Amino acid sequence: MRVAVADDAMLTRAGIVRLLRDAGVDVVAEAADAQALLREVALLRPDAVLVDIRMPPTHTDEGLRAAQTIRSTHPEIGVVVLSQYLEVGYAMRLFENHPEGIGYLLKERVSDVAMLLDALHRVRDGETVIDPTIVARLLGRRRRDDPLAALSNREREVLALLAEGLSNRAIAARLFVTERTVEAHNKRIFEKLGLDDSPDQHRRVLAVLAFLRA
Amino acid sequence: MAIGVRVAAALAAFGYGFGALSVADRAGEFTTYIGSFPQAGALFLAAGLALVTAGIAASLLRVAGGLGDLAVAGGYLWFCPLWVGWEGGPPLVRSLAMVAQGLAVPVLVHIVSRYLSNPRASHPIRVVVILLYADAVVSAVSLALFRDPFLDPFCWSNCRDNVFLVASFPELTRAVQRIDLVVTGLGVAVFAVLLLGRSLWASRPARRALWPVLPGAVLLAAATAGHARALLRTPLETPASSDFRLAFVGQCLAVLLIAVALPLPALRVHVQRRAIAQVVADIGGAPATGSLRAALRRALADPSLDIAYWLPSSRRYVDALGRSVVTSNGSSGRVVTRVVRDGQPIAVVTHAAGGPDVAAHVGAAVRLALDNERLRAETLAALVDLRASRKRIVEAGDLYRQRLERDLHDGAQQDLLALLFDLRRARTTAAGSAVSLLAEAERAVQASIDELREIAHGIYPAVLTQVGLASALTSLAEDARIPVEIEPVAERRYASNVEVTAYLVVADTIGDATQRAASFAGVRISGDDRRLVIEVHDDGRARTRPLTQLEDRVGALGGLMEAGAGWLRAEVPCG
Repeated sequence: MRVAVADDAMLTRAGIVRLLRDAGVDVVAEAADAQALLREVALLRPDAVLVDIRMPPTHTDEGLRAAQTIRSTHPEIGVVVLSQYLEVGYAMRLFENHPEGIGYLLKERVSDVAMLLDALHRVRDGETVIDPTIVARLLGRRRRDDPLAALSNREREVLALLAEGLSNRAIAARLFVTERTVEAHNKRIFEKLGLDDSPDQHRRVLAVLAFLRA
Repeated sequence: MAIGVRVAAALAAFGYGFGALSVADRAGEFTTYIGSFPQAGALFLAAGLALVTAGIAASLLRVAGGLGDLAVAGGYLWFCPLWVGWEGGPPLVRSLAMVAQGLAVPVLVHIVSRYLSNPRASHPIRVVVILLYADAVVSAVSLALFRDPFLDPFCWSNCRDNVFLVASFPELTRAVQRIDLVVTGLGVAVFAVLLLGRSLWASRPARRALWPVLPGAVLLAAATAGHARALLRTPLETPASSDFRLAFVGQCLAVLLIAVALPLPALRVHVQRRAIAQVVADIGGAPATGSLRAALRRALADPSLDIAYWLPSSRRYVDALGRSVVTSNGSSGRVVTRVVRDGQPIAVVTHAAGGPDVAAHVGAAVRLALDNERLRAETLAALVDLRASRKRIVEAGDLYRQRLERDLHDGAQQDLLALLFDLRRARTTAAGSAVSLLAEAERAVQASIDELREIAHGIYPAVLTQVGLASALTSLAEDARIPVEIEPVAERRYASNVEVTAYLVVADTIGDATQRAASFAGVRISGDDRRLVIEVHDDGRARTRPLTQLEDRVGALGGLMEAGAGWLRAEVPCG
């Protein structure tokens, strides 16, 4: 797999690149700012891109905007945005209404190489990825009349994986059940929460996230 | 000139006028207009005496511009034609009167032009007045020196006497007479047009000062021009002819109208002065802010009047509320009057041009009231400065915290991440007990990363600036240890100091509610373009901790905060 990495902090970037190469990933390009990244991507057409959310010159959301640009001009390239912030607001801004092929991970997740590689593959395949820590935080929010209380433990597990953007097949693999079981779980979950069961996997993620954020 | 001399001159004019009339009655039936119809004498006398009376009244009322003296002089000149027509009278008197009579119209026009005093009469009008005077003087002198009454085919009022005759030039005489008529006729017509134009474009106060004299001026111009035109057509003046009679009546009425209008400005000034004095007495010692300006506006009938107060300590001008203002140097149509008390400048009054002279109206009482308002404005200005300073201090603090968060994010947090990655890499090539040690180290570093992230978030929530208030509040709810319900918030952005304040109010209140063992908290954000309203309610115990910090912050932005059992409400202006 061919990957481009963009982060303005040299040490972190070097660390990420080394970890990826150790894992057998072909890091074809490194960039320290959004402009350089877009140039390299246009030139080399990697399979996926890893980009930090905050980059020069303003250090606010250059990475976010670069990710959106890459998705709109090269829809076959997956993008994983790395952030040090737990807030889902950033991810929602990133997705707007099209979460396909985009992932939002906490930067420290890079040290979990297996999960990082999994995320890169998934975005390349056009799926959505949300960091599990962020999902856990969402699910852990204290509520008065907790609608999640109506769910069984298994259903909560499935809901969490749905929020992380996993496909039915990936959920089935993770929980060691069949896809059909997963589909049944989904149906019940959506019924209990009063959500429309969207057949589109990507809209599903957005619907769940929106529900959890309300 | 002492007032006594003026009064004497005016009384003498009465005698002079009556004398002239009796002379005309007896020995001038066909040499003056008196006797051409029954009321001619009375009308003529009334006009002249009215002018003299108006003149002395204007002098007594201290109307500016020497109008009183001009009017009395005009009255004397007005009666000259009667002396000219004095058949059998002394030749010197008749000759002198002939020289003087031409000045009557220029003097009347001059009187009218004196009404345009604020600002002064424009260039064209002054030129016309000077032209009329010059023409009258040149004609009078030329005719005195060169007109031989015996050789003048069109003489009617004086066909005998001219003591100043030097040489006899009938053609020159005729030419001078015709030129004089043309110049006078055109001059008064142009004057009337300029005056009308002036009154159409003037400001309201200027128009009010002008309109009393306008009818008389227009009538004078019409009558004089008509008389000149008639004379040019039929050079022999005949009082019996209707054209000439009409012009005569017109001129008499015009002089009456001008005379009536003469003392009006002085009367108005008196009325306004008393109105202002009354207002100042009404205001008393502790006027409401801006009441002095309202009073002056009413008294001077100028709604555009403005007052700016001078603050010597900060060397600038402020309005009645203490806000800085810039004073112009009198743009077109506006006049700036400086008010001084005990040698110190206290205020500047900007008002419309053409109105009454403000400096004349500002007596001691008004000066005192202005000074009082100035002192109050000074206090208010200090308050305005204080609020601005408070706001800047809070914003400086916020800016510093933002930088601190960024430094942590880009510095210490990045370093820990790099360390984490290095440890991870090391683990892949490690063996034996080192593996578990490294795993332990990784966990420790991860814990530090989490902790540092929380600290940075507590210093300043970056999501607030980058995504907005709605997201930041949701994040607060996700972190909170008690259930927090946030009513749907519009995704709009506000000024950053407003958003930070709103966030802190909610964050602090939720934290406080948690400590008061609340089981939940509800947050509502509402508002419009002018202000943001933050409401938080909870079911915790009664508050014991004072809310000074929040109040200070909200107050620094000019907002208000109130709280009660289980609720808190803050309003922050957004403007």
